[in-house]
Order: sequence, then C-alpha cells, then structure tokens
Amino acid sequence: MNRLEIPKERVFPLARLEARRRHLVAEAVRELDRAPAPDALDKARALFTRRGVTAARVLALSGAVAVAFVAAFAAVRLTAGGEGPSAPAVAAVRAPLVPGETWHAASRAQPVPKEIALTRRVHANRGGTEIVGGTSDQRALVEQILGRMAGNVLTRVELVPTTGDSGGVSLQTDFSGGDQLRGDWESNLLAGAFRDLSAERGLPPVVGLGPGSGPSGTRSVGDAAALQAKLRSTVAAAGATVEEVSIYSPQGLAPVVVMRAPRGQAAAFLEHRLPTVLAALGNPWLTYDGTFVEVVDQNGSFLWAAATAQRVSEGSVASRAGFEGCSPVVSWGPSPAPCPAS
Amino acid sequence: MNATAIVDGACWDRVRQGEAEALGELFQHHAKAIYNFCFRRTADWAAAEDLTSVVFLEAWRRRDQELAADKVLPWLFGIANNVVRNRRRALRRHSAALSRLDESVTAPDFADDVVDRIDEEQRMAAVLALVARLPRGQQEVLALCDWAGQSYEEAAAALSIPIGTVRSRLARARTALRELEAVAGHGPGAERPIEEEGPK
Repeated sequence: MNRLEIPKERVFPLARLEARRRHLVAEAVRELDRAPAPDALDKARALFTRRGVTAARVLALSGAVAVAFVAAFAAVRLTAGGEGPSAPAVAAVRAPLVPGETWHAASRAQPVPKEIALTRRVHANRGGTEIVGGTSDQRALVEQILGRMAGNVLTRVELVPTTGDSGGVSLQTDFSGGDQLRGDWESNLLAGAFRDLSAERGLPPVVGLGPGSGPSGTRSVGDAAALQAKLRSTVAAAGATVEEVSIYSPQGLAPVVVMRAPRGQAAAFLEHRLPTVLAALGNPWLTYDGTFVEVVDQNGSFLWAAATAQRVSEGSVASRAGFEGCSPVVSWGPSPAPCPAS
Repeated sequence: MNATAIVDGACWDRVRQGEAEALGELFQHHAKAIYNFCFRRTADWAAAEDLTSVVFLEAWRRRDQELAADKVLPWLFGIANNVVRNRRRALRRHSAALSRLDESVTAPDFADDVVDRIDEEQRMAAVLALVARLPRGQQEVLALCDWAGQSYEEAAAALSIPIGTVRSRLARARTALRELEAVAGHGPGAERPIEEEGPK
C-alpha cells in the first residue's frame, strides 16, 4: 500500500484573488474608520462637552446660513473658535479658488475682510438631513446623494421652485456646527451632483449653479479605498495627525482630508509639508467631484483650508490671519505677510 | 536577507502606518503560501480561502506589531497557525467582514478541476486523521517545517518557541508518524513520505 502523500500546492484561485485583495483593503479601511486614533477620540469628547457653547453659536448663525452659496464666492474674514481654552479664537481670511491646471489657480484679488462667527467642525446631523420641497423623485435623489456623503454636516436641504417659466428648482441648505467652509463645500458638492443626475434622469432643471462638468477620473469603490489609504499614509508621512479622511462619492469621488499639524510647527507644516498632501491628491479640478483639505493646530483651531467643487466650478481657500504667506495655494493678493516659518 | 523579505519589510512598515493598500500587497505576496498552509491543516480548499482572508484581517488588527523584514512571513504563519487552531472563533470574529465579500467570491466554484480538488481534500483528510494523533505541538512544527517549508528558525518565530524545541518536536513527530503509518497500513517503501522536505 502506498504511504500517505500530501497534495501538491495550488495557486490561490486567480479568479478570486483580486476580489479577496480588494475586500481586505476595504475591510482595513473600514476598520480604520471605526477605530479613530486616540487623539481624535479625545478631541471628539472635548467637542461634546463644549456642545452647549456650539449650539448657541449655531442659533446665532441661523440667519446667515441661508446665504451660504453666495458667501462661497465672497472673500470673507472669518473669526474661528471661541469654544473654550483649548480652541482659542483665531481670525482668518478667505478667498475664492477658480478652476485651473493646479491647486495654485486662485484669485489674486485682495480679500475683503468680513467678520462672521465660525465654530469648529461638528457633525451634528447624525439623525439625518431634513429634505423638503420638490417632488418625491427629487427628494429621493437628494437622499441618495447624501447617502454617499456619510458624515456630512448638512442638516436641511430645501428644493425651492424657481419663479420663472423654467419649472426648475434651486437648492438651499443649512448645515451644522457653523462650519462655513465645510458646509459651503458640501452644499456645492450636493448641488452639482443633484443637477447632473437630475438631467440624466429627466427631472426638472436645477438652476443657480456655476457651469462645470464631472471629473475625468475614475470613481469605483476600489478607487475610493485605495485613495483613502494613500491619503492617510501621505498625511502621516508629512508628520501630521489624521483627523479625518473620508471619501464622499456624490457622483464621482470627493475626498475629505482633515489633519492636525505637528505641535509647534504649524507655519513650517503649511509651507513645507502640506504641499505633499496636496500633491497626493493631484489636480483637484480634473480628478474629483470635489476636494476638501483642512489643517488645524494642536488645539483644534483652524489654520488653513481649501475646497474645490468641480461640477459647479467653485472653490475657496482660507488661512488663519498671519499665516497667509505660508499657504501653498496662492490667493492673498500681491504681498501677503511673510510666513513665520520663513 | 533575500529580496522577498526586503519587500515584506517595506510593505509591513506601510501597514503599520495604517496604509490599507499595503495589506492588499502583502496578501498578494503571500496568499498562496498561507492558502496552502490552511488547506493542509483543514483538508478543505474553500475553507482555506476564507481562513487566508482571516489571517490577513488578523494581521491588520495586530498591525502595531514590530517585525524584522525577514520575520513577516513567519509571523503570518504564526497567525495562520492560531487561526486554524481556533478556526470557529476566528471565523466568528470576522464573520461580519466575510459577509461583505462579493458574490463572485462566495459563489460555488465550478472550476474544471473540481474533481481533482475533491480528491485532494480526501487525501489530505486521511493525512490529517493520522496526524491528529500526534501532540498538538508536534502537529504544528510538522505543518510548518515539512509542509510549508519553513526553516527551524522561521518555525520557531512563528510559534514563539525556541529553535531547539522545534528541532526536537519535529524529530519526534516524524518518528511517531512513521510508526502510525505502519500501524495504519500505509507501509514503508513508498516514494514520498508525508514529510517531503526537511527544514533548511
């Protein structure tokens, strides 16, 4: 009788190897999102304990949020913070970004200072976004798009009929936390996808938005997972702490990157290391539906942010006052103050 | 250090930084080795596929582990050894993740070689029935050294035991297995015994 013999090795079934690999990567990303870094948890707790202050500020802003879209175009001066001793108030300057070849395509017009209240980012719409007006098909489409923007700050979307003969609608949005930068960007992201998908589905036209088109880049779930992983590692390699890396997919992909600059190196980080994170994103105007990049300091106070929304050709960049010269995206007029790190 | 180990080391560094894509690369590098190891411990090709995924999910969960470049694969074998040993618990822990697999992965495999696979499973089951009579420690070194081609040193790293223990357990396992084979009627004189190759 023959002695026992173990079967020879087999290759992993090729038909399923790639699917398994993709699954592993997606699960790894999922696990990362489920278990934020300890410092992020600490920050979330701190925000929660300060919620009373934040809520009052949201109420104070309720009259201002209705003009969010208009404000996205305007260069405004922001006052951020006021959330407690760990997030001191900072003054900031904001200006529009316009579509171009690179991140550096920005207006050189002198920003017009304007004081408004700005609180730190708070995702207070966990109960969902209220969607009113329009037809059931339009509301379903808005809901579908928002479902692909998990973690968004939009609390209310209203479909407002136009007064003319077009039979069209415009969008008005409210958002939580008083975060004008993030709220404006998400509003634009939603509006662009809603307009283009409405056209595809034969729904009434959406008016009041800047011209634009979808990105030329790919947008599969696999791309999202890979992009998320790449951005996380790039932020870490740049020496910052990841606060949030999300990939929205309202229609194409729209990455959100929020990072905390290294302690005591805010200016140097903005000037020398942030460009590597932006480079990892590539051209924001060609590849994605939109991009949102924000840097905060060790206290969680605002330092710098840039946002692009390709489908409506809108964008903005903002910097803490005094740090304009450190911004890797030029936008501050002919002679910004020199970067403290220089 | 060989090139594979250098690549493994770089890949693991990226995994430790939280780069999910690097986990995918590690999977591509070592899926075959882990897959065959899992099969030879379970005699079930389909289960070996799922267990292979579980091994890499476990690796991700333990990504804070510092590893020398040449210890990445032995460490994966160590995880695989534990996953196979605690198969039900490991599958239960990752059941939610496995439930999210594409249907194309979970659908029955109607490959042309399905008959060969069934035959291999039956042969492997016969081997395992015999090996099951050895102490667990001996089974593990046998599977790592003789079936997966790991060196004494690599098996020691995988099992977190001294090299000397690996050597002695392997020697005892081989001797015991020869005796068990003889008793079971798989008498000597065949071309290849179970322990095909000695460790390097």
